[in-house]
Amino acid sequence: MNTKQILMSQAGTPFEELPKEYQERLEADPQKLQEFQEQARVATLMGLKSYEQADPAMEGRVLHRVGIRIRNGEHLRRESRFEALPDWARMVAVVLVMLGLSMLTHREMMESTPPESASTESTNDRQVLANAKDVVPLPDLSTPVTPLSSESFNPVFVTYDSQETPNIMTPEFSSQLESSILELGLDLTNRTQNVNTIPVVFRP
Amino acid sequence: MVRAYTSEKNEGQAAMSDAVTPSEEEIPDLHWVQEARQGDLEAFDYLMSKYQSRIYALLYNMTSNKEDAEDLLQDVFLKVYKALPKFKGNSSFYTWIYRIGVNTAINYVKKRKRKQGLSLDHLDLGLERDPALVQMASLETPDRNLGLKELQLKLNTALQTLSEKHRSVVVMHDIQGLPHHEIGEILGVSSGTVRSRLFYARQQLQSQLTELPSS
Repeated sequence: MNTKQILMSQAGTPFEELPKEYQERLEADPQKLQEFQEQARVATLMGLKSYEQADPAMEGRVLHRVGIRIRNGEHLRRESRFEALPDWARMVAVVLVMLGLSMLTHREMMESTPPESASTESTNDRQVLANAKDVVPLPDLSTPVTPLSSESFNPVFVTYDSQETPNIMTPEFSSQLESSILELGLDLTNRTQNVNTIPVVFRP
Repeated sequence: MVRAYTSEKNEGQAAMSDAVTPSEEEIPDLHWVQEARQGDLEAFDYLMSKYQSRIYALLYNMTSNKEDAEDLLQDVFLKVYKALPKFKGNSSFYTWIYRIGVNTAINYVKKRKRKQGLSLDHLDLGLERDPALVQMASLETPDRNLGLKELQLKLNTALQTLSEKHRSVVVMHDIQGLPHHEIGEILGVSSGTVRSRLFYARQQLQSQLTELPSS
C-alpha cells in the first residue's frame, strides 16, 4: 500500500493509532503526512458536534405527535404524485396545464356563434324601436359655433340699498337674467363659447 | 414503558419462562417490528424511543436547524410506520431506519437549498459540558474571542457548504461514529466510496476551518 492509499483509507484516524508500518511510510513523505494530519484535525473538530444534544422535552414531544398522526391515519393517506415529483417536473407540468387551458379557451372562442341577428330580436326590442320614431333627433353638436361677445347681452340692472351688499340671488335678478337670455335667442342650438360673463350693472 | 417479550396470547407460557424473560434491549428489533406491524403502537413507541436520539442527531447535523430536525424526525417515523409491512429484514432495522432518515434529510436539504438558515438561537447546553470543547474554546488562538457559539456556528456553516452526499458521510462517520461499512450499507455504496467521499469532504472543510486550532 503506497502513501496515497494509506491516506485515503486511513484518513481521519489519529496518527498514533496507525500501524507502525503506516506511520513510517507517512513520515517518509512530509506532504502526505501533513495531509493526513489535516484530515485528522478536521475529523476531530467535526467530532465535537456529537456533543450537541437535543432538547430533553423533544423526545416525548415527538413520540406524542407521531402517535397522534398515526391515530389520525396520516400514514394511510396516499402521497400526491404531484408532490413527489422533482421541482423541474412540477414546473413543466404547470406550464403544460396552462398551455392546454389557453388552447381550449382559444378554440372555444373561435367556435362560438356570431352575434344574434335581427330576426332573433325580442318583441320588446321591436316595440322600443317603433316608439323611437317620435323621438326628435338630437342636434348635431359637432357643428362649429360662433362665439358671442359680452356686448350682445343687454345689461342687467339690479337695484339695491346703498347700505347693503347687492344680492344677485333675488327673484328680480333671476327673472331679468332669464329674459335677457331669451331675448338673445340662446338655447342648445345656439351655444356660445368663450363667453363667461354677463354684464350686470349694480346701481343703488 | 416496559413490555413483556411474549404477547398476551402466550401468557401461560410467559409465566413459565419468567425467569429467563430477556430485557427490552436484548429483544431483537424484528420482534418489535412484527408487533408494530400488527398495529401495536406501544411496540412502535419502543422502536421510536430506541432510535430517535440517533436519527434526530443525524437530521440536525444534516440541516443545522432544530425545528426542521424535529419536524423531519416525525416525518421519518411516519414513513417508517407506513413502510413497516415492506421491511423484509434483509438488513438490520437500524440500518433500514437510518436509510430512511438519510434519504429524508437529503431530499429536504435539496429542496431547502435556497432558503437555508442556521438556527443560532438554539445553542445546545451539551456543548458547554464537553471538557474538550471548553478547553479548545479557551485556548489562545488567533481569534481569542472565539466562543462556543461561534465555534458551533463555524462548524455548522462549514458543514452546510458540503454537498448532501459528502455531508451525510461526515455526519455519520466523524460526528456519529458509524463505521465505514455500515455507512456504505445505509447509503447503498461500497466502503471505498465512503472513504473517498470522506476524504474529499474533509479536504473541503479544511479551508473553512483553517483558523480553528487542532485539539
